[in-house]
Amino acid sequence: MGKAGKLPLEGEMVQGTLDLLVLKTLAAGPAHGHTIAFAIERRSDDVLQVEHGSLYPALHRLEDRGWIASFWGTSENNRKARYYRLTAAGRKQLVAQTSRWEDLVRAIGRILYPAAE
Amino acid sequence: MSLSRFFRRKYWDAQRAAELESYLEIETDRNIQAGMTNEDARAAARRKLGNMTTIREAIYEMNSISVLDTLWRDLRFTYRTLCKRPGFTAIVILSLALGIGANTAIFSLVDALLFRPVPVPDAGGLIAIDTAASRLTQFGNSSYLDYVDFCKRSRSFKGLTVYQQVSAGMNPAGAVPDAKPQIVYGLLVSGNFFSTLDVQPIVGRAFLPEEDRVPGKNPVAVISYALWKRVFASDPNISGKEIKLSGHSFTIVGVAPQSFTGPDIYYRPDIYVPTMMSAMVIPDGGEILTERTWRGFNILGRLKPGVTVAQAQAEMNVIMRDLGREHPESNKDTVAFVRTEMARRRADNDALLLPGLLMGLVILVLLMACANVASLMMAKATSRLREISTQLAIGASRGALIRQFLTESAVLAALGCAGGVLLGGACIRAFTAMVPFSSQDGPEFRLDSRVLVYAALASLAAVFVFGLMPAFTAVRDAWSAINTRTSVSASRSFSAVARRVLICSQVALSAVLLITGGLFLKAFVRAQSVDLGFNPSHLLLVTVDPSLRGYSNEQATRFYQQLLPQLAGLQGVRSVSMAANVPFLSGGSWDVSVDGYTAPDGEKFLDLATNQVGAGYFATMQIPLLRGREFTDRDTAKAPQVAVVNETFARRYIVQNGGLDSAIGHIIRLRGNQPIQIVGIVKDSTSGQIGAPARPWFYLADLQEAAPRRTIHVRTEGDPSAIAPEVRRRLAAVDPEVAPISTLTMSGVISGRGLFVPRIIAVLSAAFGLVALSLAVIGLYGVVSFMVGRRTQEIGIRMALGAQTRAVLTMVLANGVRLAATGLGIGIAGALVATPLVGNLLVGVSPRDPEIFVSVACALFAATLTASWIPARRATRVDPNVALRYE
Repeated sequence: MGKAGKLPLEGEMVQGTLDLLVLKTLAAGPAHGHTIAFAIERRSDDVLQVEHGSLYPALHRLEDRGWIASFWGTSENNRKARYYRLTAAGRKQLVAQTSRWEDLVRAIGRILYPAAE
Repeated sequence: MSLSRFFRRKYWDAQRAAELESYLEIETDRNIQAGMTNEDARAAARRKLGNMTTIREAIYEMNSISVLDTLWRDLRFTYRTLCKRPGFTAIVILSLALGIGANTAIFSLVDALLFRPVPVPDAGGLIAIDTAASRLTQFGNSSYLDYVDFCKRSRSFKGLTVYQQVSAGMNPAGAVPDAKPQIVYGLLVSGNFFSTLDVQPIVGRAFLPEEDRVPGKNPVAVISYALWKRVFASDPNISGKEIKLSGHSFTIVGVAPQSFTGPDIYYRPDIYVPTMMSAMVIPDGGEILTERTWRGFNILGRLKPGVTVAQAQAEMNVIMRDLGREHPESNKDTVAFVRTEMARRRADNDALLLPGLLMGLVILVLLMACANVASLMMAKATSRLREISTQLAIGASRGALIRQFLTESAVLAALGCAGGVLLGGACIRAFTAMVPFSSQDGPEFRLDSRVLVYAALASLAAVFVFGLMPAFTAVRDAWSAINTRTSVSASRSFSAVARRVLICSQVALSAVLLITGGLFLKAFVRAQSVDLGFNPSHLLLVTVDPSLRGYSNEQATRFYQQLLPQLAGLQGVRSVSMAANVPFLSGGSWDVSVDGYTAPDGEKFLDLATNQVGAGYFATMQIPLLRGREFTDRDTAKAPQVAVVNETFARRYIVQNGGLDSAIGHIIRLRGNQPIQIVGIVKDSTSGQIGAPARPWFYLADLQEAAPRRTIHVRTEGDPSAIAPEVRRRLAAVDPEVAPISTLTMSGVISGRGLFVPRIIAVLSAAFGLVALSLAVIGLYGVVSFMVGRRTQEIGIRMALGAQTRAVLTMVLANGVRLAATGLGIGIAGALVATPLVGNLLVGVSPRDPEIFVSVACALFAATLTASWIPARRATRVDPNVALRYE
């Protein structure tokens, strides 16, 4: 029997975060998987290490939901590579997820630093 | 998750694999730029990416639909289990195929009679009007003048059309020079026939309204697609060509579409002619349009939008009352029935009896097959009890296990259904060959979509009947086995009880089916040896109709006077005569009054069976003459009119208790009222229904009272069919255009027509009974063997403790016999209640015939005894040493 059902909450948080980061990265322009991982790691000063085991399923999921679209192209050093770009629905999703993320950060902040209130 | 992704999982996996590969290449390039060696660069890239297969699997899983996946898994599992037990699989599929095949075949008959619509657009809106003699009769044709009045007076109908069956000799030489004259069967139709039915000819046109206004004015005809193809080689320029019908020229104006095979399910006409041409097509055909007593027409129509059948019926009631007042001699007390065409068909209870009986029997056979399959599945499930318990113990849900069982049942049912449809198709072809109808006559059996839907529904029902029970019982048993941590006692387990109930009902069902089969078989055997009152062997029947060639009655008489002496002189011919009707083939009844007799209801005229026969008819038929004389050549139209009656007629209406002699010389009268003197009395003979009680019957001399169509009866020395070619040659010598309509032997007619219904019921019901018996025997054998298998240990202990072989045998046998006896008792009780329902079809045998009941009970008991004796015998051979070490 296939195990259907919700993943644990923490998994979902991490997953959601990765989705947001991918969307944000693609907002700058189309990119292939390698570049996306590279960009996330660079911009976060290597704090965030992109798990490839999660990146590709995440790309697949986002594409499935219609937030990103893919096409085959040629990489900087002439390799065949699968490129992703943000769709209109993805752009909306990026705005929504960004504000949700900000809400989340503020909420956590209020709990961690009650004195600041 | 989209379905397209699910079905293109392979494609997507390849895409992802390529994408990951391209990642590796890019990363490797970067590593090489950073100064690594080729191999190190590649290895580092791989390390960074991680396990490629895991990533692919994660994505693959995302593309899965769990329901479809599990279904696929269950199907593969089923395939493996079924392949592992080919014997079991074959028996199950065969049982189901037999049950569903029988159902498919019989349903095709029911479909043809009760469900298939008339082949016209919007057949559901077709209304039929009957004018019946009383409320009870419900059916009856109308006269042409009734139809004309209905059209004038009613406001409910958008259109009413009228038609009547007709046959004619057709000479197509005008359109196809080398074609031979032949008989065609067709319809006389009103001018609006095709427009009312919404049928458009595919070639040419339909009739114009003005073509059906003046008698004899417009000799036009529309032909069927089949005739167009058969005789006219699908000639596209057929319109306007001339043919001869009954010797008169007709112009073909159109061809009906292939789909339109006429407005009746029993009759497929080949030619359509306007009613106003009736006098050209049939002798005395003019009268049928002007006589209110001639009730030969069927009426169909369509209602105006918004008018209901009930409103139309109410309007027709008023019209019928008025017509009864205006024409009391013909229309007094007649009533109209307004129904949809389909409702009319289903209102005919007599016609429903046979298909109803057969349908009931095949449903019982299917139930038997299901019960058999269910008990086989249960036996298999019980032997897998340990496996199922293990699956439950390691966390499989009960639902999942039941689903697995049901998948297995569904696969078996689908295979059984496929086999059944093939078998049913073969049966339908066999039926068509068996049915004694021409291509024009009788219902058409087809494996159409309704029949297929029925087969599918029957299979679906079968899955639930035979699939659900074993699934639940097996899972329940396994569940209680784990929970109680002990092996369930073989006789107490839920499925053991269920199996015993099943086997009892199988024995009961097979008892019902065997008794039914036995009764019909006995009726059939009896029907074959019944004394018909005449000698049917060595009798050739040649039917000719010179009027099809346009002969008048006098010309026809001269034709016969020329032909018959020639035939009588042929070698091997004992005697020759003629008759208008032949028992089992045709017949008629006329109104007749007997001087000095008044029916209990005060009515003078009786509606009695009659035949118009030639000189020497009774001698040729070998119907014994009891008193007086039979007809001779001297009983011509100019001589005083004479009659011969049968014994029942004489006793019932003339002599009552006295001697038969006093009936000679008695006077009877037809509606014309001229006296007809009885000159002879013959023994009773059959009227055409084997085994039915004798009916009063009167015979008139064919020279005094007959239509041109006759059947020549030739009594031969040897094989009657051997002389047929010579008879045809003589016929052609007198007039080459009068072809025989049919050439038959009397024994062929009796076997084909007279014994057809008794035979088909006997063959089918006996076959169903035997199938049921073998299923019950297999089932009982299975149950008892299984029981023996489960009790091996116990039997071993008993034997070790000194039990006699005989005691063990009796113990095991008693189990089987108790089940069989219970089933038999229930079955016989059921049959006692059920068989009188089909008593009408059982001619000459009581529906509770003790001989059949007793012999079926004995045979079934013997069969079940044998079925349990074989495994019981095996039980006595159990070696205690082996048995005690068992488990």
